[in-house]
Amino acid sequence: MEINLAHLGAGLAMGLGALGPGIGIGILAGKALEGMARQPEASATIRTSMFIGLAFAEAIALYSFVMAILLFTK
Amino acid sequence: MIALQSNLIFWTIVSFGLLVLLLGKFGVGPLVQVLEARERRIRESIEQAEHARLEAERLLKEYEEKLAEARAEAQKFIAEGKQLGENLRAEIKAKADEEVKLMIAKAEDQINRDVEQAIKELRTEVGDLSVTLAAKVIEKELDKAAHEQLIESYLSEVGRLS
Amino acid sequence: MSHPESVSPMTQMFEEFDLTTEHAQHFFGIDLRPLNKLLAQLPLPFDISVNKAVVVLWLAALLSFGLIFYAGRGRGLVAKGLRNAIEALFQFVKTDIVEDNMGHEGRKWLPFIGGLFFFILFSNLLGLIPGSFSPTSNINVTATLAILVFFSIIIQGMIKQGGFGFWKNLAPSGLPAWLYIIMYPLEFVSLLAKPFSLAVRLFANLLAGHIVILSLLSLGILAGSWLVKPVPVFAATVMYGFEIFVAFIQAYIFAILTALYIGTAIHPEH
Repeated sequence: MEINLAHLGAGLAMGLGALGPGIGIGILAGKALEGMARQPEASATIRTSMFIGLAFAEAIALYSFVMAILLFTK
Repeated sequence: MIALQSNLIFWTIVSFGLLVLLLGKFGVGPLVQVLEARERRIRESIEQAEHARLEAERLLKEYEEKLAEARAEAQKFIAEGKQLGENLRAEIKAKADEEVKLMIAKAEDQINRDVEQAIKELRTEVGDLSVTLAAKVIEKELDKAAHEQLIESYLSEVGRLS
Repeated sequence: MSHPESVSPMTQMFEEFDLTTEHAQHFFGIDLRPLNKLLAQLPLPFDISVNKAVVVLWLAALLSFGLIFYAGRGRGLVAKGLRNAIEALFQFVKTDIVEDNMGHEGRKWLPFIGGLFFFILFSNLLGLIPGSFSPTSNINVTATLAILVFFSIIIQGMIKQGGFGFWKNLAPSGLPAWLYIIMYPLEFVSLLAKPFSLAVRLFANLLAGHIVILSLLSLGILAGSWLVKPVPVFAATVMYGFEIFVAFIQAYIFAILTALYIGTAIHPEH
């Protein structure tokens, strides 16, 4: 079987690209829960901000996902 | 897969543009109105309910005050009535007692008087009889037996009279 | 469809997301090719052929308008069933997305942002029906929407802050002069990054979700034993539920970020 470096790169891009955002989303959600537990009356605002932050963190993983697709279908 | 596809771009602009235009013209306005009308109505109802609640509370307080007042008054009346009744009872009892005493005294008096009268009458009668007897004795000179018979007859007459 | 041996099963799987195949010109048994032949006659410089993604786009737009129109006709204090659901969603868009982020001036953007939310939501949800297709899992659709948002930001900013003021306000004022040489290109890139991230986020989320479900189901097909087959099917079902959640979340995020960006253009001090 011929080794396709593009496929390897796709896998690496996805895996490594998911690492950072994964940690980031974990910290984000943890801190948001902490904040909600401390101030339950502010949960609505915290949740909204959390989703926005989540979207930004997630976008980074998705960039690598797009790169992985580009590499894979090459 | 990640390639420019003009048909998708074109149809996205057409569908979405039409959607926004139609929403701006017919869709959003009425719905916003419906939502705001409901919001206003609910707020008004809540305000009204709050108002009614306060009013009811005020009325309740007023009634409670009135009730307490009335109760105190009633209590007072009852106490007064009781006192009055007590007084009346004592008065009536005293009066009745007095009356009874008076009546007893009167009755005793009457009885005494009647007895006295009877004695007096008897005495008069006996006196009269004695006088009549004496007259009869004097009128007739009787023997011993006739004398005794005569007394006996007169005594029996007296017994019949008394 | 036959493929040469060298093509990997994954690449084969990706064909499912390719809209240029003949397979894509059928929507639940409706053949769209006659319509495309008709459309090809129009003297246009670009291709406007219809495929299943385009049909779903139409349906999404139709559903969004139809349901909002239907809810707006409603009379009476108490809304029930479908009307209640639409009203709840719309109320959410109106207060939590538009008014919270754009203030009272944002009211005139309500058709745009509400339209975005419902259009994306129904595109996402309709794509979850097996045999259908999510138009939002294609970069062309999301990029078009993102570019519309980008122009909205610039136009609103230029109306509100003046043609020059908007570009001047990109960088915060009161910095040393030499810093502006670095700041302006940076801020300009960040302005361009907004629609880019919007487009990529939406399309990649939807595509990734569909690929995960497809991979799990392919795993079920590949599994040799019937004892093992239910496991990936069950996992795919769980993912399906998660995809419904993602459909809502992505529509929400697209709408709230748009509201945030346009709101920033209205009130530049933030």
